[in-house]
Formats: sequence, structure tokens, C-alpha cells
Amino acid sequence: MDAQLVAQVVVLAAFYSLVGTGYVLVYRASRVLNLANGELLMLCAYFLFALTVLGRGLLPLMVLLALVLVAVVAGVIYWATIRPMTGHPVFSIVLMTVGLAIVLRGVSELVWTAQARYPLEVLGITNKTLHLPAGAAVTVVEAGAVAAAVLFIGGVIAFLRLARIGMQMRASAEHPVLASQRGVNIHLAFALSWALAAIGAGIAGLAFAANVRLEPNIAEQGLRALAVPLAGGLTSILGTVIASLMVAMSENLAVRYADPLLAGVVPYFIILAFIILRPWGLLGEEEELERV
Amino acid sequence: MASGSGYFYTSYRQALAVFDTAFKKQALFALAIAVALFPLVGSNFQVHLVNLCFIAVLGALSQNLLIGYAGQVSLGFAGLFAAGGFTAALMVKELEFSAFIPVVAAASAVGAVLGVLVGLPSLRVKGLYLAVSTLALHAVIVYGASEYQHRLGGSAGIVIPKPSFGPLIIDSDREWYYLLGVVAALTTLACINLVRSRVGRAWQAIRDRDIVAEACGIPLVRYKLLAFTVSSALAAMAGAIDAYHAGFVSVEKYSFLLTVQYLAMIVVGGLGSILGSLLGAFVITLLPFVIDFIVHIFPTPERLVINILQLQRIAFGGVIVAVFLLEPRGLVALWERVKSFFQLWPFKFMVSGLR
Amino acid sequence: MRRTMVILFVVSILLAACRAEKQPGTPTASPAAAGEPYNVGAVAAITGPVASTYAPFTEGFRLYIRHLNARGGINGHPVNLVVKDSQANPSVAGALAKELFESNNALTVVMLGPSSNILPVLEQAKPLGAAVLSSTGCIDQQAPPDPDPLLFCTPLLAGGIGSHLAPVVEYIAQQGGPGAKVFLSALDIPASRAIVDDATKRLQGKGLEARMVVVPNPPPADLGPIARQGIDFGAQWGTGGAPEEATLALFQALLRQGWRGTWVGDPPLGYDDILERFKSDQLIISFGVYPLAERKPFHAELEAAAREFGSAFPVPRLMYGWALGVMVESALRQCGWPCDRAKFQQAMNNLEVDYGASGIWPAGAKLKFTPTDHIGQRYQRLYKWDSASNRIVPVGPWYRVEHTGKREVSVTVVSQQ
Repeated sequence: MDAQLVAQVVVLAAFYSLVGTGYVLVYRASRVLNLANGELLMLCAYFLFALTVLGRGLLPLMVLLALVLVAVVAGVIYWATIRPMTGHPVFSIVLMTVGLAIVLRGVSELVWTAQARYPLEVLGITNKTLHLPAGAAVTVVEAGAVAAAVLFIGGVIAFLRLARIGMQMRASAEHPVLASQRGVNIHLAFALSWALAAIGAGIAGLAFAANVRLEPNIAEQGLRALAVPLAGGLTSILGTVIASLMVAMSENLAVRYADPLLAGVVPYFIILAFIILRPWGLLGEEEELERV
Repeated sequence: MASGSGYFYTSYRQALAVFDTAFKKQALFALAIAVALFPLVGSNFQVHLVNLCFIAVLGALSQNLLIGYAGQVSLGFAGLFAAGGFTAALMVKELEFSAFIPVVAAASAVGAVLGVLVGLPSLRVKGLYLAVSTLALHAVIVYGASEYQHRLGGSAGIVIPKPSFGPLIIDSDREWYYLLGVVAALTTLACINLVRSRVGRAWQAIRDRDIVAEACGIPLVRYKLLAFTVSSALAAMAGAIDAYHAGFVSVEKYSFLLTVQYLAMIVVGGLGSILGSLLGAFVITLLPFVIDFIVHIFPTPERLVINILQLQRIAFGGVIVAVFLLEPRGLVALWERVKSFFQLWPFKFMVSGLR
Repeated sequence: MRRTMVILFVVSILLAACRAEKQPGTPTASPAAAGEPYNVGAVAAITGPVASTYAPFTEGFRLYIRHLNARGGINGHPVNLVVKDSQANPSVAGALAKELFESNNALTVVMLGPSSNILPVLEQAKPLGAAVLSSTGCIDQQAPPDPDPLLFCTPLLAGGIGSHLAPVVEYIAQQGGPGAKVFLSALDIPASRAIVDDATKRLQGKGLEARMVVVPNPPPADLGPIARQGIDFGAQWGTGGAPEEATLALFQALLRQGWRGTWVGDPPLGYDDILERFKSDQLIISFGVYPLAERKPFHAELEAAAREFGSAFPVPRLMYGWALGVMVESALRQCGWPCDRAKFQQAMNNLEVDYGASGIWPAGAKLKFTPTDHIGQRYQRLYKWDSASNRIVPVGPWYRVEHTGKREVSVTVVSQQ
């Protein structure tokens, strides 16, 4: 167990926890798995790429704008397609998010083509490699992603606990009818949840695009991260963080010591194990199980 | 269902028949004639398209039985379809056995066994978790198939020879048409009878309120697992037939997108309806070709013509979203509305209480 | 209201359906060429896991055909090229090939995608006796002495098992010497695995320590863990025989982890913009054509065409596709008019393309197919970025590689250009 392995696990876990938090926030609000999360990840990165026309030197502004844009897109998606489906069975809503994902992917491929893009290069920024003690090496973007993940997740947890709107979001998620009777605008709260989820996924997407490359296929990273909230508990952000470390560790070990082909299936084995043993994940709220 | 006519059954036999009215019998006869004669007037390509629809019908029926009638959630279709295709591939490659009917039967058996496996989580969880566990099982099955393909079968995929029945070899679109048409028709008839039988009624009871169903004496374990078994066997059968039709099996085909396509078929067509499965299968299968058609008869910028695959994807996703927003009960509900309009005219609605 | 809208929509679709025949296929013809067209089909992985390699390749090919049609086509007959997107999915490739043969009446189908797509397309072509031109790694069915009569391996982007990486293997063996450690990457598709496996064995035969890794297909976006294997191995050299998503991406992952070795890229990486992007002395690339930096005649033609018709990709990426267009034009010219599938296959069987004439290859270099050799010749030269002069410079001479048997190749040095 060397330092490089630890570094890789931490970086991957940061990525997974950002995307996983997105799944958790949406699940708490709408009781639905947003299978379009990967596409939101990809879309944010493409927004950044599109904004690079503003010229060099404005990277922080572009990052902010890209995140705001993707949050707006998520809010619009919620308002236009998920809100009208209140009351429909969960299966239908999930399938609806899949349909949306397909549309978003198709539109992105049409607008930006499938060619691999390198946003940092366009801006003239190089992604230097930092050499850490004990022989580990990560890039600036990877380190930044870990920092961003810590800040974002910490910020979200604090926001939900302390801010007034955050408390309203929690209330709406827990008991929508009661919350709305108490004067909370639950649809606004849900839209905000979706927007926050998109920001989390967006940060992950920006990090990925800057570190590796930007192409439509990166949306698949979202599906890869699905194991994390399922293992950690769909209602618990903390559980997601713990699970992300677990899943990242298993994947890295599988690639190192077993077959790289196996690494893609490892998350699914983890999902199955949890469904059999503890379906609501590590820290999720226990839900009624039908024992047959 | 609204009915303005005073049509009454006069015998038990008539009440139990699948095609109970004279009109239905005549319509069925006309349909059969039309279907049988179509290859004589259609072009090769059009016949090929209908062949694809016939295969899709098999898959759509399997999904609707499980999701529409039995109310279980499953995202594992592609894994079972792959199981069928790879059983055929395995038998062709390893056992050098390619007789059509036994291979398809074997594929169905494999599908049934896997179906029990995929169905086991349904005894413990419902809803979202069930969906995710079936998705996980799909990933595992596809991984197994991929390992087989790359280690033993050859990375390029496995070629499946044409099916032969004695001296007759099925290698033209028209010959496939008749084979697939017969298979699809028989399967549809079997499914119609299945849902009208005790099993089908039990499934619908489980779908509507499973606790009450259990209280009424329906053993949940048996019927839930039966739903998964039958549906998976049918899906694997469809996969094997598809492998023969394409002549080729390769793991890349069995992606999550394939599952989404078949789910879209039953949602667009109508959950819990045999007719819905048929309609949905035809609509979703033909949709990309309709888009292709539209793009070529209207003046479209060249960039869009090259990227027609993206347009087809957008249309596909758009159809799913539109169906959910506009008519969640699918094309069948639309059809019912059209039928009621004509049956009740000049009235707009039927006062409830009268049949 | 909703109902009305839906009914209106359906009716308008039906009306549109009633109105026309079903001949899809946008002719890339212009007023200059007005005769009956030659129908050529192409199944290309324009989107999907390996799009970075095949999308610009296809674009270059299409550009050449448009350029050809604008100049009058072949004796007044335009070439009607219909391209369909396979997303590198073998089943889709097979289905699209069937459509191209049946609906578009294609004389031949060009397969621009990974080698996993070759067989399904060939299956559709066999009953029709139509030739298939595959633009990917060449497999045994194309090599001497008994290639499949219908299957041809178009050149430049990739070679065959033994020939694709021959110059790279020579270079690394020379520079590294016995005991040097080489890390090779393949993609999990037939030709790639075979090519890299063969190269690994050849390196080991020369006394070097070579280790091969297979990247799953579709290639994962994050190759970090696989790169780690290379670093743990202590590799001083790296190479691969696969689309860039499994080779260049691996090089980048190695760099991210602080690797100090040298990557020698294979011809699918042969684009000026890649060398310009990295500007690194850790990257040497084997080009299958003269790079843009050498300013040969065909580069000027290509740039002019790209300007005239517009291109979504940088010019260097269009080179291989352009060269493919040259080959298809030669074959169609040799076929004559009227041309049918059998005649086209005959033309391909005895094809000679003078790539040296326009500066695609060194002067005098020709590609020849014969009934016993459907791979032909490959010319490769190593290039790298020279920071002193701030441009791309050659590393060594041109090599000519050809097959003398299924896996046996001969590598000759071509005199300096």
C-alpha cells in the first residue's frame, strides 16, 4: 500500500463523492435516482469549453459561470419535467430522467461533435504534476478537485443544517405535505436541490475535463459513480463520502492486482452485496423492507 | 371501456373466447391476410424493417409481462437478451451445434434460470432498489459474456450461421419475415392467454396491491419468481432469434441503451397491455428510420445529415419525455380515446352505471 | 388541445411519408459533375469510444470526395458517398452496411472504425460479392499469401500484425538496447491485441524486457491505474498499437504521475497538432504520411479544400482520410464506367496508387495490392518536436514495411528525402 495508491484513491473518491452527493440531494428531494447526472457533469464541462471564447485569464469567472449555467439547466429540468410528474411511480420518473439524459447527450454531440477537447490548453494553462512526499504524484487539477470536493460537501452539509433555506430543503424532503402547509415553497426547495446536485456534478465534470479530456463519453462517469450513493445510503451525504473511499479503493486494487476489465464491474458487485445484505446502505435511513 | 353498442354474449364459450365478436374475428382475418401478403408488395428494405419490429415485439412482450402486468421493476433486459445471444454463440462455437429450434429452446432455458437469479432481489426489495439490483445483475452478465467473448470466442465476435429446417435455409429477408411473423404471432397469442389466465390475474393483483394479494391467498414468492422466469425466458429467446437474424454476436450490442429502448417500447405503447407492446415495438423500432426519412426529404444542412445518429437519439429521448408529459398511459390510451370517440358519437361520454 | 396537437403531428408525418420515394443519401455532387454517380458507402465510428481517431479520418475522406466532385468527378461521374455513424458498435456496423448495400446500392463499403467492426461488415458484403475496404489494423484475412478476396486493408493509418509497429520496434530496440524496459498498450479489439502481442514478442526476442497491457473496450476515460502498472514496471519506453484513447491517453496518464520515459507513438497518432500540443522531448511519433510541417503538394491541396468546404477538424487530422480518398478514386478510375461490384473488386485486386506523386509518401513510393496481398506497403517515419528550432523534425529515415507472409515482414530503409 504505497503513497501513490493512496493518492489515486483519494482523488477518485473526491470525484465519486461529488457526483454521489448529486444523487443524494436529488433523491432526498424527489425520491428519484437522477440518471441524467452524468450528462449534467458533461454539460458543465462543455459550458466551460464554450466560455473559453471569452479569452484567457478569466478562468475563475468561467468556472463560476459554467457552474451557474448547469445549475440553471438542472432547475429548468426539474420545473419542466419532474415537477409535472409528481405522484407518478418512481420507475416512470427514473425512465424520464434517462430520456432526458439521451436528449442532452445527443444535443451535446450535435453542437460540439465527438472530438476530444482540451479546455486548459485553449486557455494556455498547463496542468503541472505535483510531487508529494513518499513518491506520490498528482496533478494540480486533481489536488484542486480534492479541495473543491471537501469545500463543496462541507458547504452543503453546513448549508442544509444552518441556513434557513437549507432547513426548508430538509423539511420539504422529509415531509413535503407538512412543509408546504407550514408555508415552505417546496417546489422552489426541490429546484434548489436539483441545482445544488448539478453544481456538485459540474465540479466533478470540470475537474475531469481539465485533467483528462472533454468528450461526450465522460457522461458515463456519472453512471460509474452510481454505486457510491447506493452503498453509502441514498439519503446520507456522509455515507456517500465513506462509500466513495470504499469504492475507489476496491477499483484501484482490482486494476492493480487483478484484471483492468474487472474494475468496471467491481462497483456493481458492491451494489449487489449491499442490496442483499443492507439495501439502504451504510448510513441511509432504514426503509420498510418487504420480507416475503 | 366505453361501448355504445348493445352487444351481449349468448354462451359461455363466447364469453371466454379471445376473439369474441364477429367483428374481431373478421378484423383478425383481414390483418392476417395483410401481413401474409405484405412481402409481395413491400421492398426488401421494408420487409427487413418489419422483421426488426417482429423481433422487438418479442422483447417488448417480455418486458410488459414483467413490468406492466406483474408490476416488478427490472432494468436487466439487455443482460437477458445477451444471455440468449451468447447461449446461441456458445453452442455454435463450442458445441458446433446450430440447429435453430433446439438452440433457441436452450437459450430460453438459460434465460429462465437467470430469471430466477434476477428475480431473487424482488423478494426482498421493491422499487428503486429492485431496479438497481437488476441493473447490477445486467452488468455482471454482460461482464461474463465479455470475458467469454474475448478469451474464448474471439474478440471480433462470433458468427452465427443461417438457420435451416431440413433443406430450407432462411437467408433472405422475405423468408425471415414469415419465420419471424409466425413466431411473433404465436408468442403474442400465448401472452394474451397468459394474462387472461390465473397466472396473469395473480400478477395483476400483485401489481396493484401485493399485500392484499397475499391476504387473498396468492403466494407472492411463486408468482413473482414466475414473472421473472417467464419474462427472462422470453427475453433470452428473443436474444437468440436476434443472434440468428443478425448472423453475429458481439458484446457491445448489449448495452444499457438497449434496455432503455425496450422500456421505452412498453411505456410508449402502454404498460399492462399486449396491444401496447406491439404498438410500442413498432414505433420505437421504426423511429430512427422515420427520422432518416424526414431528414432526407426536407432540405437539411449537411452537418445534420452526417450527425443523423444524434438526431435519432434526440428524437428517441424526446419521445420518452413527451410520452410521460403528455400521455403517460401510452399509445393504447390514445387509441382508446379515438375508439371511444367513434363508438360514442354523437355523445361525448358514457354516463357511468350503464355498461 | 393536447390531443389535437398530437393528431396534427401524426397526420403531418403521414403526409410526408406519402409524398416521396425512399432513396436516402445526400449526393456530394455539384453542378460540375452531372453524370450518373458511383455509389460508395462508408460505415464510420464518428461518435462513440474511438471517435477521436475516426471522426477526422472520415471528414478527410469526405473532403477529398467533395473536392473530387467539384473538379468534375471521374470522367463526369460524381461519387455519391454516403456515410453512416456506427459508434464503433459491431452490430450497428453490420446493420448499416446492409442498409448501404440495399438502399443505397453501394458498390463497396469502406469501414472506418476499429477492427471489431470488420467481420460484421464483411458478412453483409459476402453474399453480394462486394469489396470491403477496412481502415484499421490489418488482420490475417488481409495478409499474404491467401487473403479473403473481398477484404482490403487501406493503408497509412494502420498496418498489419508485424508491420504496424515494425519501425517503432526497430527504433526502440536500437535506442534502448537489451535489458531496456518497454510498456505496450493495446485496446481490447482483435487487430490491436494481435499487433501489440506480436510487437511484444519481437522486442523480447531482441533481448528487451517488454510488458503488454490490454485496455478494456470501450476505453475508460481514466487510465491512471493502468499507467501505474507501467510506472511500477519501471518502463523507460512506451508504445501502443491502438486508437489514441488507449495510447495517447495512457501517455498523458503516465505524465500526470511524473513519468520520465519516452513514448513512441504509432501512426494513428501521426498528427502535427499532437506534437505541437505536448512540445515534449518525451514524445516521438511514427507518421504514416508526410506531416503538414513538411509542406508537400498534397498539403496545399488539402488546406485549400478545407478552406473551401469548411472542416470541423484541424488540417493535420484530415491527412489520412484524404489519402484514403486518393485510393478510392484510383480504384474507381480503374473500374471505369459502368462499374459494378465484381469489377470494383477486380480493380482493387490489382490496384496501384502512386502516393509518392503528390507528396503523401516519399517520391516514387507506390502502394500495390495484388490478389495475394491485400495489405500492400507501409511507409513510416519517426518525427518529434524540436524545441531549439520550434518545429517538427524527423528522427531517422523513411522505412518501407511489407508483408512477406502472414506475420513475416521486411523492413527496408528508404533513401533520405
